[in-house]
Amino acid sequence: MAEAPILKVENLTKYFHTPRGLLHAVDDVNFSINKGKTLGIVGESGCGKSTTGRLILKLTNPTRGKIFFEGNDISGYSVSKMRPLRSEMQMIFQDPFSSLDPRQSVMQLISEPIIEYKLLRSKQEVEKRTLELMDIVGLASRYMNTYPHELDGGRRQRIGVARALALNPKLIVCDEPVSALDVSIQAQILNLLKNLQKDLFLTYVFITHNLSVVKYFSDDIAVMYLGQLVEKAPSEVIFQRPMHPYTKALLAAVPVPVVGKDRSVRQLIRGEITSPVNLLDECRFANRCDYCAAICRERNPLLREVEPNHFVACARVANPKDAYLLSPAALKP
Amino acid sequence: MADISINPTFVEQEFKSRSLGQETLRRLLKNKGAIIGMLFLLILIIAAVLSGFIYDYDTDVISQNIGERLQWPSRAHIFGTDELGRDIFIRILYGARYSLTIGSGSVLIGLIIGVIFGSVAGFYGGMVDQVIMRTNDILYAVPNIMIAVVIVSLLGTSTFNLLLALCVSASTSFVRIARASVMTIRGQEYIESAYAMGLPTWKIILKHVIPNSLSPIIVQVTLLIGTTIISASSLSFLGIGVPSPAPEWGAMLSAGRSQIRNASYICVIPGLAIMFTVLALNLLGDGLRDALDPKLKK
Amino acid sequence: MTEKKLDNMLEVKDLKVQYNTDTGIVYAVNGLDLCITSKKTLGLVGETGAGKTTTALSILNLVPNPPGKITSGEIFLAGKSVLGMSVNELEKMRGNEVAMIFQDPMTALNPVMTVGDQIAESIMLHNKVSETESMSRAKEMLRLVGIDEGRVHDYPHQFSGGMRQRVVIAIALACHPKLLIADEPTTALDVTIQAQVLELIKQLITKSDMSVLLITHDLGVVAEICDEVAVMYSGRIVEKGTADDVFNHMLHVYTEGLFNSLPNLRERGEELRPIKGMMPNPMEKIVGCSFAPRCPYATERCLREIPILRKMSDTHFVACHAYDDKTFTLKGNING
Repeated sequence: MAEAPILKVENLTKYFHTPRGLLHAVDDVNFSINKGKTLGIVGESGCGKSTTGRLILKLTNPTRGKIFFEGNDISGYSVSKMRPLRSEMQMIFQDPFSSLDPRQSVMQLISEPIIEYKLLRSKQEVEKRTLELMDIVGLASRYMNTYPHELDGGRRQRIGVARALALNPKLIVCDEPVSALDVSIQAQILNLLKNLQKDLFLTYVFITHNLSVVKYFSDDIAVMYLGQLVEKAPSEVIFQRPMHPYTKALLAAVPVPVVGKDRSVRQLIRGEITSPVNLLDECRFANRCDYCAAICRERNPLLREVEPNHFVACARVANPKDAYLLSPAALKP
Repeated sequence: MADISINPTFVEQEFKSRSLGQETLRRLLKNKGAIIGMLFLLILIIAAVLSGFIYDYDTDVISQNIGERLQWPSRAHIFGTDELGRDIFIRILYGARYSLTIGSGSVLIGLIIGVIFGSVAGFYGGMVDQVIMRTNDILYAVPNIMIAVVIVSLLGTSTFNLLLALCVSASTSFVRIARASVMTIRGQEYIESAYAMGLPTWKIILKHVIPNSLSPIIVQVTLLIGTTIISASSLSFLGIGVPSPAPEWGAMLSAGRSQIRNASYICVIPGLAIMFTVLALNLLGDGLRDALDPKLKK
Repeated sequence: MTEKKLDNMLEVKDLKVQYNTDTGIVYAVNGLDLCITSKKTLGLVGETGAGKTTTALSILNLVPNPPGKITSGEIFLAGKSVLGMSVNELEKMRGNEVAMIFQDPMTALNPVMTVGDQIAESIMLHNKVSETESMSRAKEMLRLVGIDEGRVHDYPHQFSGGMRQRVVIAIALACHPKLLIADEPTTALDVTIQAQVLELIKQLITKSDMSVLLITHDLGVVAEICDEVAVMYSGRIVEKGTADDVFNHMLHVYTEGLFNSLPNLRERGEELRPIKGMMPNPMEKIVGCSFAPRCPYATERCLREIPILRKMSDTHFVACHAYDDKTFTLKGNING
């Protein structure tokens, strides 16, 4: 582990001022990613994962905290200072219907970044590179002069991927890249992304609410709730040994496509997500947690390393044994 | 493994790729009302242009011929003659030049001014938005006629000054439309995508925001030309528009008032000219609105 | 298609629906057969463009006309023919005997009416009751779906997405319908809320004796709630049976392909194996089996002749010519 991580985020925070009060979109988030790896950020709506993705790319500026890209602190960079860096870090957006300018043809969409950064001189070179990119993402060359509204979701998303790749970035933030697609198309795009990672040594931040997809795709997984990281661990560990009550509930809530005796009874979470405005200094999950104790209301628990490389933010989980105690069986009188 | 060659039904159609602009045109051409409107306007424009070459302003349009005054429409004078013996048909055709240039000229200038300010207001929001919009609200609230009166009393009656006065009111409506349109586009993910790519803001506005905000603006252009023509005619009717003896339709209407009992055609014909022109513009505008309907974009 | 003459709540025979758009005709539903018996829940599974929503709308004769048109087929609700009903009869049926809930809870509710009023509206429309009576029934419905009665005078914007969907369910069930059609009822909700709402739907089904047609693309949801499953592709049913039949003994290649595309929560590291190709363009009139171009077992016959649903067991049906050969089984190579 001698090489420095390509992306490191320290105390990353983003607050919004709303008429109702201070909205804690992202609160004190810490993580790092090594080159060529994938960090999956999982959570439900309002947890701050999309905002985190945008903070990493400086599409919005952090209220507090630092963002280190390849060792350099970019959190304070101005728009002009960020510009050369933009070719190193790109984004794939969620909605293939609204993330492409409807007035541009496929050719224009993919070549726009190349032309903007003057990566190639002549028109022929640009066209050649565009066709190359289309080939890499699996778009037949005959679509070069078509328009987004004429294509289906899967193809549009491939355009999005080609656009992100056009600048030869090192890091790509994928914000729910397959959520709007059908299952079989999802699988095609996920395979594409995985192969690209292998071939081009890309680093991904994969943001999604879909647990099955994130498991397939990520090396490490970070679970977010109401702006905070509640658990972070390697992928298999999160699924085999989840420790935070929210992570457990999240895993339990996913409807499993299995019929018959293999089905297990699900433990459901109660209540709704509380408002992210004007939060108190207590565990944000307390209202919905079956294992809430007095200590949980005293202060907001910090993220701590409960076993090697496994971080949990829960006052009641100090070591792996504690996590086993927080189970439905323990609740029974 | 399935070999595509054994499945001829599945060979992907070579579809004819159409940009959104071409799609819009195709839909527009299916609308009968819009086609009628367009044809009428085309004929009018051609007539207006040709009349400049065929007829001489001094001899044909404004020269008085008292001997032939107040003749009802006949073969010699298709629309008859007015109280000063001038051929109304020639004057109507020539008058189209005024209506069309004033209408489209003021709307075009108003468009440019309005879109610039409206886009800036919509894109940046905050204080910039407030300043621009409140100024616009004030101008919007002042009636056309008042603005025209002020300008005319300061600068005198002329076609150019009329155009100036009408520009002001045209721009106010475009500021609003452009702002609303830009605010919608601003939130679209492809704008965010442009930022993520590192495009500078001014380029994003010019290349991505404005072209996509044009739909409601295009519709407004046709409709506004219609109302502007009416405004121009009204102002000329009141005597503060195009100065006589220019054959502006509103002015012709006004001048014909004295003869309304015995030679009503002198009023009616310019009135009909205004009416049909505005109708054609409205038909075209409605057709455009339907053709540009966002439901097209699936 | 022979089935035991059970009490069929819903019967659809050879339904064909098309949309006449200005760019051409869209063949949305191409010969669909469906059957739901009393008190059973049928999951209609398929991807985007398969024609699921059009099917649902047809049952209540709600397909927008123009441009949509039911060109042939029969639909029977508790024995009565829907397509032969007058507008009056249809209106009596909608919301009353047959209720429908849609995907997006944000737009399904009227923002200027309180939730209580919206529930009561449905009740008063179909029952001769007073306003007070209908309001008290509305409160009962709110309690049934897990919302505090006191919120009966609140407006939709005061509720979260999950709670709005509960209100939608309350409105749908207010008149105790015999058939509930749910079109992707939980797709727009967060995972944990989705689980709650599914659980609620499950409870409500067991409490009443309603039949349910659940439309979804999510096989996990189907496994949660449905007794029976019908897999839809390109406007027709390619396989149907009990949940056990379809999930554990699947017969159609497409079904197999669907399951293989899922990144299953329990097996990591295997590469996903999506089905090659795409669903055909619904604007093409297809001769033969619409799945043939993507099918590793396709033959000349498949290109000429549409396979009809054939009975493989009392409950399990599949539309595939390959089963002419009694020894045929899927070899698991659809995904390459």
